[in-house]
Amino acid sequence: MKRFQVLVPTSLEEALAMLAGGGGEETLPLAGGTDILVRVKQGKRAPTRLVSLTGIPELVGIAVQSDEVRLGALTRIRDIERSVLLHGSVPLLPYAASLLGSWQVRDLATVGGNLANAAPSADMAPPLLVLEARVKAQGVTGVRGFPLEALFRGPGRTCLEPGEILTDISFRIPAGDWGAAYIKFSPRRAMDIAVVGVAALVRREGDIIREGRLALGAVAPTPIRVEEAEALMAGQAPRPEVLREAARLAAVACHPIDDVRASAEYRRCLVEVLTMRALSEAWRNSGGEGGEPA
Amino acid sequence: MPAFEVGTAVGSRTPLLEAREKVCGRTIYISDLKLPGMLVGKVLRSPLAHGRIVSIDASRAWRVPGVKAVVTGSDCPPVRWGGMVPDQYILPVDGRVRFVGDEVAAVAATSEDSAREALALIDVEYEELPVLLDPQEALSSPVEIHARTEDGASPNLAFRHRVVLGDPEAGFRESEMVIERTYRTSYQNAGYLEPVACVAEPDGRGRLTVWCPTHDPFAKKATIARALGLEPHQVRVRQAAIGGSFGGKIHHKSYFLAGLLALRAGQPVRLLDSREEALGVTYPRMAMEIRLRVGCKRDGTLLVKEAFIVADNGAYSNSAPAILLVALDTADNMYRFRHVRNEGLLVYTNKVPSGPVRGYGNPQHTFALESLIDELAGELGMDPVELRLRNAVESGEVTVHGWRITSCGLRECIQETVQRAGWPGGRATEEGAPPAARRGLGIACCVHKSGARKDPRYEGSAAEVRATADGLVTVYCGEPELGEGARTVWALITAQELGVSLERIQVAPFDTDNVPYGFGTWASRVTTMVGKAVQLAAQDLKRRALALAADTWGVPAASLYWEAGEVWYGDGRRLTLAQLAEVEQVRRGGQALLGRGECLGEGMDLQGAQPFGNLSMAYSFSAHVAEVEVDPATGLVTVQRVVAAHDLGRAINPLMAEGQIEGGVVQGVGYGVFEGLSFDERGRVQNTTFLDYKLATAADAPAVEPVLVESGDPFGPFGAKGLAEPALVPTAAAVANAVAAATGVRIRELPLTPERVWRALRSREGGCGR
Repeated sequence: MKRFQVLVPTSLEEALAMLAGGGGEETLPLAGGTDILVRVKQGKRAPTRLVSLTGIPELVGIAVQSDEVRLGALTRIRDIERSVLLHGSVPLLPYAASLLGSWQVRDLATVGGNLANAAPSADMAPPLLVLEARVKAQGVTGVRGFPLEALFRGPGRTCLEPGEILTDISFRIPAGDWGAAYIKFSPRRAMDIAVVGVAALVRREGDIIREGRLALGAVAPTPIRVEEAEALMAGQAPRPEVLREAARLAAVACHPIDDVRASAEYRRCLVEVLTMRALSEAWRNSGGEGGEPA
Repeated sequence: MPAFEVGTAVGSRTPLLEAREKVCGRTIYISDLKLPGMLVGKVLRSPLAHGRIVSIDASRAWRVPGVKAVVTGSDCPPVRWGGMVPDQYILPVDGRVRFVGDEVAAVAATSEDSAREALALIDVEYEELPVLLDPQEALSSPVEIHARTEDGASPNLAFRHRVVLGDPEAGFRESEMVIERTYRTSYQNAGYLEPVACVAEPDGRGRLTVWCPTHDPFAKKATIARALGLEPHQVRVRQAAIGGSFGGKIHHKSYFLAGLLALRAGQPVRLLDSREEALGVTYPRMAMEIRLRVGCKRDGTLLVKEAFIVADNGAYSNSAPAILLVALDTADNMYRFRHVRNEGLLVYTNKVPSGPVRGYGNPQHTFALESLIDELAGELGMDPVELRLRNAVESGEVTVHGWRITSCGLRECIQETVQRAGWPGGRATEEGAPPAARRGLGIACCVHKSGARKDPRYEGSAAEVRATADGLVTVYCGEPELGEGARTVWALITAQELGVSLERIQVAPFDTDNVPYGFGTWASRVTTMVGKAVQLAAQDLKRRALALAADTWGVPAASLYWEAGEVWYGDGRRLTLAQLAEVEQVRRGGQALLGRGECLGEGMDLQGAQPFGNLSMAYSFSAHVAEVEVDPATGLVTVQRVVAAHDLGRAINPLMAEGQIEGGVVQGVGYGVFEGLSFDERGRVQNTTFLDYKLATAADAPAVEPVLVESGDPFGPFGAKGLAEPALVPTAAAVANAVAAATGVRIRELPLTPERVWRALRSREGGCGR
């Protein structure tokens, strides 16, 4: 492993200055380190300077104010998993957090790191996509905000400029009756990566799906929303044929690859099966009756 | 130290002697060793699965500051050696590389950075050669991975063996039902926690000490000497704690390379594998394709069995021929087959060399045979348990391969597991199970040896037990402990025989300079063979102590008795073992009181035809019942529960025996469901991290219910037999049988990954998922 220097700023300004002032040396932000340090060890990245963000207080924390939730980008996955606030308001997030890596990994990994690492399989991405999260990025030149979807550009690629970091993730808790679900499919129950991840969110009005949202992980170059399926569900009762058609559209919309973990064909089928299950579970979590998967 | 009454050591639930220091992180492993002046070694590996080295230039590597040695094929003695077949050099003297990861060169330097930099500066030009990955293809290919063997056999055939017993043709004619099926198994990594570490240290008198975690240090001492061009007496093998092995550390190139580097540098050198090396380039369990044909009567009486095995040797042989032999002669002995014809071909391919992993070749063949027995039961319309009970061997029988069964709890194992698991229904579907989840139970059995004749002349173990005036009793034997608890077993046996408390007993650290010769820790032999030698040595010590006391007091030895580590005379006089050791010390110029014991493998065929016949002193049996849940839409198999009954003769330490079974079952579930190396079309292992090599985690472990069946072997120490390998052998078949019971679909290839199960279900049911 190549040697590198770790810088430990205590304020955001200091951190941004360090990231901008590498003087030609490769400088990368360091959050929990559970992805970047593995890459460095494998020789896939060779930064000479890492700027640790964990000592910056304003980047850490979970805040819920009326219907607005804000997660500091450096909030640890384990803290999301254990947050009483989130358990009460958005149980989807603590649940998804509990599926990431191992206890030890969750103790280090951060939500911003999980997103900015831009793995197609990132466990926090599909749930935050169906929550229609927005993110803020900051660099020496200023702050900008944009929808989470716009962050992802490809495997390991984001729209962040060099020297720019994610600072926070926020979303509005849906109004009225709603429910959500995340299904992570992996051979092992822990310490594993999603072969397919499916997040669903349903806003219910009586027996009708007012709005359905669907996001997929690990089946495209980035985590994706499935708008075709969402459009189909809006205003429909959760009848088996509706769920089946939404699932079919999701399977059509994804672009999985063949790799050591699964074939594209199998992943596509999993998307179909798990979409039905996730929608059904989200419907039940919204307090709806019926909605059994077809 | 656990408290137990003196003389009740055997059968007590005693934690591993080293448990506390291990849990507290204080155990010293070979990877922790730091010798003065020790250098960091690194290995340059072939990026090609098959190639010829056109040129290699290490001159730039030598110029890196801190580099003390750089070695390539030209620095290597031109000695071909191997575990059984001499098919390798330490480095490519012949200029050939045969798998991705094949060792091409090595460096030793004062720092990790220098070593790494030097590796990058070794210039190698390769010429690519055609790559053979499929054993069937390799058998007929004009490409030769190794030079054609002398007997003119087909190219790439490393070894071939055939065994014919009885009259198989007549057996098939007599059969009223014959079925034939083909099964395939995977490449399972040993999955040890501590990657291989090896330290070699030259001394000023031309001797080389190699600290290595192998199972057979005396055999390695000889091979290392031969490969390095040294005399046998010039190599000494020592060990520190070993962080697991499961057979995977028996062979390793580092044991030789560290020596080569250390001799070149004149300084100690350490080689330490990365996890990527541990998974990608070191010795998985060999994959086999096994075609079975079995004939029986309508009532299920098994008559005849035929097997044809094509085994993937990988690029070099190591123990592969012996592994194939174990596949050819073991599993059949569970049942009363009258005729057997087994044939196996071991084929070179351009893949990572295979090696021994827990069970040798038995798990592969047991998966096939125990799957087939279930399929046969289906054809006959019989309960698979009933079919097994009808054919199970019993104590006193001689099996078709000539094994003399001196103790056998197979029937009891089957009955216990079936009863405890609630055969055949199992439990109802649990709350929270996926929609339409299907449950099923499956059973599989196993037979395994407790020691095996490796040297054609003998199988045996030797031990010494030494009592000293300080009150200590020290056990010396020639087999390493791998973390499985052998030393605790030997200490308990000594404690039981002598009536001395466990805290006064130690087992000497392994060092070929100081312990008796030993074959090694394999074939589940160290409790049985070494344990017996230790027991006999303790008895010998007791006899000498009694004679010494008789002589001291001037009374007949027959009038003395032994109790709780002391010699007593009728009038109340007594002498402790420590006091007697002091008497011996004073009388004999400082000698210790020494007992010696040897186990010569009672009842074994030492003159019989190699390698078959009665090749072990005792045989162990087991039955596992697995309960699985299958999600038919995704193919995900969850092993919920395994009831595992093991006839281990006698549990020397039930606590450790249960632990051994639990670990074996989890590793067996891994073999059945999770684990397997995958290769790309260029022969590269694709899953070289624990992210993608799916070792089962604690969260994936089923509830394991160990059941100890004590059949009491007449030869084993206190009736004990081996347990280490059998704990894993039947699990994969039990899982596959349970999946078949749950879904009605038979999967004949390991592992039962979700995608494989999904494909099998889909081909029957059609459509995507459902």
